[in-house]
Amino acid sequence: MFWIGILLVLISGVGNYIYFQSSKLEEPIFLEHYITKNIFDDQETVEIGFNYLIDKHEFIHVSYVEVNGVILTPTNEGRVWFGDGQEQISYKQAFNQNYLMEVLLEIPISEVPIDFSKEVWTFEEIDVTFSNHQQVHTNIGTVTIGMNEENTDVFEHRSSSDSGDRASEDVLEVKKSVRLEEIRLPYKQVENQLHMQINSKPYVASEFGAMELQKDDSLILQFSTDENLTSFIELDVALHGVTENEGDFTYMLTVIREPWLNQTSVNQLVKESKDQLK
Amino acid sequence: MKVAFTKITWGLIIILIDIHIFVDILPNPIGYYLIYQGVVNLTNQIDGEKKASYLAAILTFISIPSVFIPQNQGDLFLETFSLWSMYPLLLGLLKLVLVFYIFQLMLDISRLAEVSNIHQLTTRLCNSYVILSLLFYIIETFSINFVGNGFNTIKVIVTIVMLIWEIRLLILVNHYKKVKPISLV
Repeated sequence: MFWIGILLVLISGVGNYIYFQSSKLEEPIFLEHYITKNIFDDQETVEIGFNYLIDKHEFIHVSYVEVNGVILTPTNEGRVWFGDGQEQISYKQAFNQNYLMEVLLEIPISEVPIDFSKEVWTFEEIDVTFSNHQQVHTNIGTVTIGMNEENTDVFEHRSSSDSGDRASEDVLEVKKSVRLEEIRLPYKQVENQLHMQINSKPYVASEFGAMELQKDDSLILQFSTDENLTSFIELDVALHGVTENEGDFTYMLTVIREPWLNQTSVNQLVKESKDQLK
Repeated sequence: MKVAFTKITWGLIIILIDIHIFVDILPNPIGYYLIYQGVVNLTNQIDGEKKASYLAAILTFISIPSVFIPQNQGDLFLETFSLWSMYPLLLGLLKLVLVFYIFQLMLDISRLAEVSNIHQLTTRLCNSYVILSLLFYIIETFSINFVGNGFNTIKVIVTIVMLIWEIRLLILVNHYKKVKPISLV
């Protein structure tokens, strides 16, 4: 009996070790982010957040990020210190073998090699250096930073409500009679993930025709996402159109969606990442 | 008999206590060497099985790296050489086998002892100690894959119970100093 017990412990040790090795991440996995940020003339910095999965056993956090030669430094450390010197990991979500972490990064606008009055800054890939000196080159979805384009007072934002994590509703009051000609999502990929309804009718942004709006009408915009969303969305939906007297206008509506991951979606993300690295 | 069990007791204490100030200030190899001396002394007296002394001698050498590695930080080795990550577990299991052999020696002695209940006491502690140790190590092996709060609670409880049993073992071994087998009297 004694020897069977010892043998069982050994088998369990080897088995767990093999499982641990096979599920260990080669490198942290960054989720997809679809972000647009509008800046104003006198703005010096803009903050963006990236989410990534790490192994629970090796707690690491982002030291800095480099994009097109611009260094982005974290404004949160990914860890909290208690009074007694004990270190507590601050994570967003915990899974069997992974933590979902968020790093908030400050972008110094003056150091970006872009003339923001003429163009926007878009990037899809970043170089990340972690606290253990591991360097990772990774895709993070798409980030676009540009000057604020909003130039209108045709809509007044009446209310905004969130029904849970996956749906939101914004009510706009029309102040002038206008012809709404285009609703533009900044990224094509997001169209499949972010479902839009205008006045309770579903629309696909790219197929939106035109809509005549009278003064004092209400425009209700609803956005919802699927339950299994794994990307982060923080973008401005642009409403373009013409007014009767004042020409073109653009109105920006910010939509933010964060996924709530579960073990199944984490397993899937880990699997996809491993397949990619092969 | 007294000398043998004093050495074994001290050996077990040194192995149990793990105070790392750069290195283990109560090095495990010294503990295993004391046990080796004690067990050799004992087997000479009662003409018992030599397995325990062989194993204690082997452990004296195998445990040398543990002087530099805190016992509770085996995780550090998961990142590097794969055999090293199994080292704390292997060391623990070998120690369990050694304790099991020592129990067998004690049972041999108590079978002949003039005090009748010590044999029964030793049998019971041997069984519960072995079962608890196996449970402890099984949980330990799973702990690399489950780092949840619930799991940690189980681990802490089993570790505390295990510590109590280690102390019970020490008390029992110490008690054997006074046990006199009838045949030797």
